[in-house]
Amino acid sequence: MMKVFKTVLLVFIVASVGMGISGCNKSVPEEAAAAPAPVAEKLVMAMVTNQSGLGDQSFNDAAWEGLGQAEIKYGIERKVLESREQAQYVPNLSTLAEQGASLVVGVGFMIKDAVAEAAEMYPDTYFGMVDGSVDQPNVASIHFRENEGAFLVGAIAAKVSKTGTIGFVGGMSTPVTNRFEAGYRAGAMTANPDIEVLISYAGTFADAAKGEEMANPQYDQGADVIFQVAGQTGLGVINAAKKKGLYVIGVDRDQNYLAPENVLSSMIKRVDIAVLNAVGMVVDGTFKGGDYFYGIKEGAIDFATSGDLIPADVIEYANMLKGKIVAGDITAPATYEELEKFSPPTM
Amino acid sequence: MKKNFLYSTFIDNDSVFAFIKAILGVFFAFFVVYFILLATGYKPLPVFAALFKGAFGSRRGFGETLLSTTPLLLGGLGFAVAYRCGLFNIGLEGQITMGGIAAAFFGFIIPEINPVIHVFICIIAGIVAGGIWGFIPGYLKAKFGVHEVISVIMLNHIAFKIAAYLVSMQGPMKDKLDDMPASPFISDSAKIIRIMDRTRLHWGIFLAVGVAVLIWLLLFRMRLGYKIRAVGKNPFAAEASGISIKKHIVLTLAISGALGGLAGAVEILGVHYRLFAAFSPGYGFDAIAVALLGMVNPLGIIASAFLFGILRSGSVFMQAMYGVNKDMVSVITAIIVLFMGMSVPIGIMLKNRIKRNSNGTVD
Repeated sequence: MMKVFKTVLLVFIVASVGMGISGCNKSVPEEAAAAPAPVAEKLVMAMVTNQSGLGDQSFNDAAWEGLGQAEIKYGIERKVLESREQAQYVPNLSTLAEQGASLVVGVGFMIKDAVAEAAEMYPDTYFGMVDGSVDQPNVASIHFRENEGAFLVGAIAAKVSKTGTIGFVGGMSTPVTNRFEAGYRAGAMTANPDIEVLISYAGTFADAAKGEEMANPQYDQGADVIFQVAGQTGLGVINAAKKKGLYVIGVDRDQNYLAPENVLSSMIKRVDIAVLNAVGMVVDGTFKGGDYFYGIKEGAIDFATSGDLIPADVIEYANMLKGKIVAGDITAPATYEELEKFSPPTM
Repeated sequence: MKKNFLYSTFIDNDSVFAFIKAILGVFFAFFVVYFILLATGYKPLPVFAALFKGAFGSRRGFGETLLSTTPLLLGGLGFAVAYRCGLFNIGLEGQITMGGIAAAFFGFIIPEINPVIHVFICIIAGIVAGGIWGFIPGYLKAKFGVHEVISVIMLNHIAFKIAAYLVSMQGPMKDKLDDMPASPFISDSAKIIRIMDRTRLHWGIFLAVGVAVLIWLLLFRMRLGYKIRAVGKNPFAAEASGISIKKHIVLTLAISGALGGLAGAVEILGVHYRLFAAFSPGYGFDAIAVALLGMVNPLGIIASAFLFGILRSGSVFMQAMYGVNKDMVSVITAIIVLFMGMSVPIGIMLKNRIKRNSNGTVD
């Protein structure tokens, strides 16, 4: 019996090893045949994710989508390296640059140092930096005016709230999340000067359970809408909203599908548009380093209405505010200092 | 049982056999990964080729290989010293973290001075910080009998949280002028000089190899090492012959932690130039596998640390070339680590097998 089993195993092993080898052999002539043909080589545009990686339903996915759109629009080839840890940023960026990618986009503010280092090591490669500033001629630093979008959802939250109390759950307290918070509070104040805004930070972007832990006390204190700016942690906030049957506002992408009855709106950050533009600059040969700002005006910041949970008059009100921001009549505060000086415009 | 020439050269000779076991472990690992890759739709051989091409195929890749070898080697040595004394120091990651914190602190708090002095100060600071983080569990064990595995795991968490707190938004070591949750950059004079153009490789690798030789001398040529090993082999016999168990437990864990601290300091001074929370991507945990695969012998650890360095730097290329999912890369490296750890049972199996066979045929 043992012998039969061993024989079967051996045959199986030999067969699959053979498959592996022949599989690789087959690909060799194909490559060899393709090489001499003078086909115009596709430009390779690549990105390096932060630790959330692809499938984060947030800005890594959005950046990847941007490269996908560029594939269609400019006929480039897209590539991605997912980072497992922060110490891997530099090797990831340099590997892509070394392999001849024309543009390497780093996603997330934590990757900033690594982009600076790689950009210095590979001065002939263009780099994109989403959510951070790197001062080098071959780096386009992409910033979003999240405060503008947060302002809008803040106004929506305040209008929709029946209790007069709304909440905010941030991941870590960083300048970016503080920017969201400042805009959100200013928007809420504009829509309802008596609104009370509860604020808490979970201390992590990667812990859904912690998000639920942060959201529940806010709901218990009477908040009936919470804006989450917390990455994976935020998924816990959405869960809490589902369990309590109350509203939550999503971030970065339209998150309504996660809880169609509870995700009132989402503040949308179109990282894809910014990435597509960066690719366009490389393809056209007009790439210039420096800071690029994307806000409502550039069509890169918006709020989502899917799910039809926002009353029509509130949508109308939010659109009116949007118009005023584009026209420059309202400046959504981006820092705590600006928030302190902010007084709701009279309308 | 008759012993022929082959048997006595390869199986009976302990160091040669240990080497064979390690190679077999690596071989089995690649064997299993081969089928996993096949089952998940990748062509295994090109993927393996990419692993090695990434690690050796370019100047930068080779630099990265040696760059990750450095902390793995120092950490592996740290684990080996403790292991030889019968202690399981799973706390190297925390000791690396403390070493990094101390080195970064003296790196940026002291303005530009003579580079040799500055680097020396920072490295000593790292060694001391790591040493303290090893001394604590040693003292707890010697004085109160607290099992070192439990206390170092707790100390790991404390170290991670200290690092995270120091560079958090309100943290005392946070760079106030920068968004990043990180410390200010260290002064130029505190940076360990890089030795290969267009790579991040710095002379820490030579330092690590030098330390490996020193630890070998310590363990096998010095009285202290002899005592450490005596306590590890049989503490009661050691005590009966006048070697203090307690003293050597404390001392060994402090040395082990100091090596971890040195690894952390070298990472900060040679690679990152500033402190951020998770600057060590698990080098302290990989160090355990490095030490075991290296037969807990400092010279063997040089080789196994290099092998782990290849895995680390090659896996990036593997991902870039074939789009192997990042979790898949983790699975592959984890399986390789697992089988490397299994080289000991593999060796026992092999020996029994040979014994049985020769018994059957000869007698």
